[in-house]
Amino acid sequence: MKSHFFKNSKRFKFETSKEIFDIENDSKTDAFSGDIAKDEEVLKKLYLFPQNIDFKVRSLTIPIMRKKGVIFYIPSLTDITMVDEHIIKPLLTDGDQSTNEVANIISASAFNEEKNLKKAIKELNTGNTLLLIDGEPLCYVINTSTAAGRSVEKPQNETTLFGPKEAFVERADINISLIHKKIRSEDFTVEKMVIGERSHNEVFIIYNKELAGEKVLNEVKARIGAVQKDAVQNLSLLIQHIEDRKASLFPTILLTERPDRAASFFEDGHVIVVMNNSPFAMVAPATFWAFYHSADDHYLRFIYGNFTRFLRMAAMFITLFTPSIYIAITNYHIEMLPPDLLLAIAGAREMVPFPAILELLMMELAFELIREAGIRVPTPIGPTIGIVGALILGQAAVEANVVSPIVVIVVALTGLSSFAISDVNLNYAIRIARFGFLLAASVFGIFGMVGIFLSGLFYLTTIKSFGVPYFAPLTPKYKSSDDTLFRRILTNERLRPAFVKTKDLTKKPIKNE
Amino acid sequence: MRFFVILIAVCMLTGCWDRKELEQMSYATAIGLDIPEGVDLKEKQAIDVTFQFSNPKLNIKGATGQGEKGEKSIITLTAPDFITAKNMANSFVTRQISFSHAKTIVVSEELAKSDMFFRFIGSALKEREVRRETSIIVSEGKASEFIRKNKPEMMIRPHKYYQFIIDRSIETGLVPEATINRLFAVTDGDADLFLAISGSVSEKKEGSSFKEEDQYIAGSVPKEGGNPVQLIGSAVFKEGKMIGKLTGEETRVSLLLDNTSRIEDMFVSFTDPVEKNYKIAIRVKKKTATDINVKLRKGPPKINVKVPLEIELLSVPSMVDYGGDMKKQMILKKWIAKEIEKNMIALVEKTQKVFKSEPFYWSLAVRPLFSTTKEYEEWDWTNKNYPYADINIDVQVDIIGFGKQLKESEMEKVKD
Repeated sequence: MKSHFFKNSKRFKFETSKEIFDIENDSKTDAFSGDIAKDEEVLKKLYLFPQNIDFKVRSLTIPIMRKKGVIFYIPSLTDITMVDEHIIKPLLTDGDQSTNEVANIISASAFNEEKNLKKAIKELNTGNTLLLIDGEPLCYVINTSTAAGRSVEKPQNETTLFGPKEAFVERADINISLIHKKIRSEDFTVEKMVIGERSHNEVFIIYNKELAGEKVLNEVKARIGAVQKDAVQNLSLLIQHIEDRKASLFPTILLTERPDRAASFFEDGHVIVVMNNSPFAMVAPATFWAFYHSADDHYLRFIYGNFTRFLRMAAMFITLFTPSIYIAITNYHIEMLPPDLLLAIAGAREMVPFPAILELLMMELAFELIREAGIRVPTPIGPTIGIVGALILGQAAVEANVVSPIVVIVVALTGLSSFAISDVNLNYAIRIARFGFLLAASVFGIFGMVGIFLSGLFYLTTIKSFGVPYFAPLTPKYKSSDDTLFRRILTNERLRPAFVKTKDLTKKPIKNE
Repeated sequence: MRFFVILIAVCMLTGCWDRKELEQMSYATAIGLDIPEGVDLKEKQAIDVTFQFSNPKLNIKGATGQGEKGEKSIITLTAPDFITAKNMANSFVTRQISFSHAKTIVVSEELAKSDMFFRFIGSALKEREVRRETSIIVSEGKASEFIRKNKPEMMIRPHKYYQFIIDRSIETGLVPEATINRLFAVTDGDADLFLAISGSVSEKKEGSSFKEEDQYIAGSVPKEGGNPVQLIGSAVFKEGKMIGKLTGEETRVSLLLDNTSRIEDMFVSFTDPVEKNYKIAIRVKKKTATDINVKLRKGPPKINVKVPLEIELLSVPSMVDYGGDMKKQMILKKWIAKEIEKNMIALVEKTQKVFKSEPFYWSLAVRPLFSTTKEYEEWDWTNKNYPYADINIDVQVDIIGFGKQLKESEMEKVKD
């Protein structure tokens, strides 16, 4: 009976409407006709001209060429002064000698011809200006695009003490230049891909053509090319389309807002992806260590940098384990507590009405709420949240004997430590994982925690980011500079990580001129 | 889906759902064991169990120390054994009683000398809450009295008192390290003597007459004021039954001969070898492990014991300049070695003749000489060999310090 059901499903056939193919097949509408009035009409129709005010048409007669011309542009995306100064003004000026070459009249720097109407429209949509000249079956695309945006500012999430203080912004060209200015090399390659059937989002893939691993690069391109969605606004959305395991707790693609971090990954042979509208760069592949590290680890001196690494690792374990250890020990392993601490906890819990696990879950939830609210709260009220949270939840809850002071210590310590994990994605992963540990500890004690920890480790060793194992180069072992839990002295970091499958493994010392 | 069903089933079916929050328990710090009055142990199994509980409320800021409330946290009841007493006590104690933080088990001498002692204490091995590192104290009088009369000088919590005083006494070597674990190990090994901490309640001042600082047994230390409870010396157990007592000095000597002990801070006084009416005070430390060399031969074995010691001169009331005079140093070294050797030989003779076994855990040095357990057991260290063994003790003394000031004041010049 079951097999019968599946057989039935084969009888359904998908019918495709002919209109889908019409657009591509009909090449007539694709080319410019050369008749200016006709082409103008087509474009005006396409942009619903009179109603749509974000579309401008300017007809003019070019005295030098003695021809009619039309200029199209989208004012909200276009640099109007440039259109005025470098296109319209030279076209209208009555020059001494006559010429038929538009290139000799217009003074804009980037400029090309386009015969295909559809491609021309794409260009128009990005803010470029189209110039049609009567009798010529093509249009001139003049690069005039500009869009409102902010200038380069300080990083918000990945702050450092000694690192450069600039962060990516929402414009891809600025972002690319922020990376490029750190690597002045002819190997710096930027490729453009366009995704999104309707919104035509540009994706810039940046890699070092001499270093980047072929496999990873092809994988990145293939995955971006396979995105089927009519609009992918920015990188944060793009990575959710192309990451390895979409429902996994742990992130496999790194987002960084620091151009210097992106550049250092670039130099190791990783592939960087930049998009308009997102003040981040995406790094692939990304291992666990990429999330664990911060830029300051290398900017600080060897010992100081490793000290911060140690602190971060400690913070990670404190965040993961403190609440669950508290629950496990007070519920199942009382004999592990020194008598004084035991009596202190027992004394403090004397008046508390809830079991320890409920008490702790309540406080953890409250802390997460404060944290979430703190992100969403409008900036002027921000400080109030801290005061309200600390005062009401901490002080008052203890005074009212709703929670014991020890639990407040545990939750505060956990919360504070979680802030030391700088990467937002890893931060979320750890914070969510700790609830798993908490529940396991409340049911099975330390035995349960060990179980969860082991299965977590098993899981982490199985996941991959663009074909690279998550814990590489620690396990499986790869040749690298061992920049994992701790880092080496800078002069001893001579190898690029081999898991990227880079073409040149050693960072060869080059004599300075 | 199936995964979640299994996960939930695993949690529901296997979790320890009978666990208790820690404030739902009472923690016994000290457990006292006595023979109930008017009960003949040979006819009926019964035992007086005393529990001293820690009071978590003492933690709360501003709470007074033990005071009168302290009495309420000590209870005594008669039960078949001390494990069932846990439940019996719940007829008037509100919470489940936990032994997980019991620091000590106090046993009255009367019970320790009976055959029933090892049977009662054996149940501690079965009860998983009892720690193996719980110390055993043998009190001269009743254990319940020992616990009740115990008024620590600074009103500290009872568990602190037991922890501190036992740790400190072991450091000074006046009492042995006497954990339940050692009791079982020694008794099951059936070759050595087990030394328990000897304690006593004594409020009288006179004690006995003045002796050297460590020659007392519990209850006879002359003092005034302070806690009436004192711990000094040790109770000797043979095959799970108490057979005698050692003074503080004898305990120290036995610890020096024992390789499993740790002495850290042992102050001893000796007669000054140069000016015999004065005494000098020294600190004795073990330099390395005691070397016990057992030679098997026909008849009783020959045992050579080498005890390397380090000493530090702490006070020299005779003002003899030991620090500056090498000759006098040599005299001092020899004298101290001789004195300690004398004490050791005296103790060894006592154990050979009176106890007929040794409390130094020397069977550990004997066991490797046999290839099978059976051979070793047939050879019979305790009964056939040790009491008749020819024991040679060699104490090697190194002087490692003369106190903070090397030179003594010159009394003659001062006196002018």
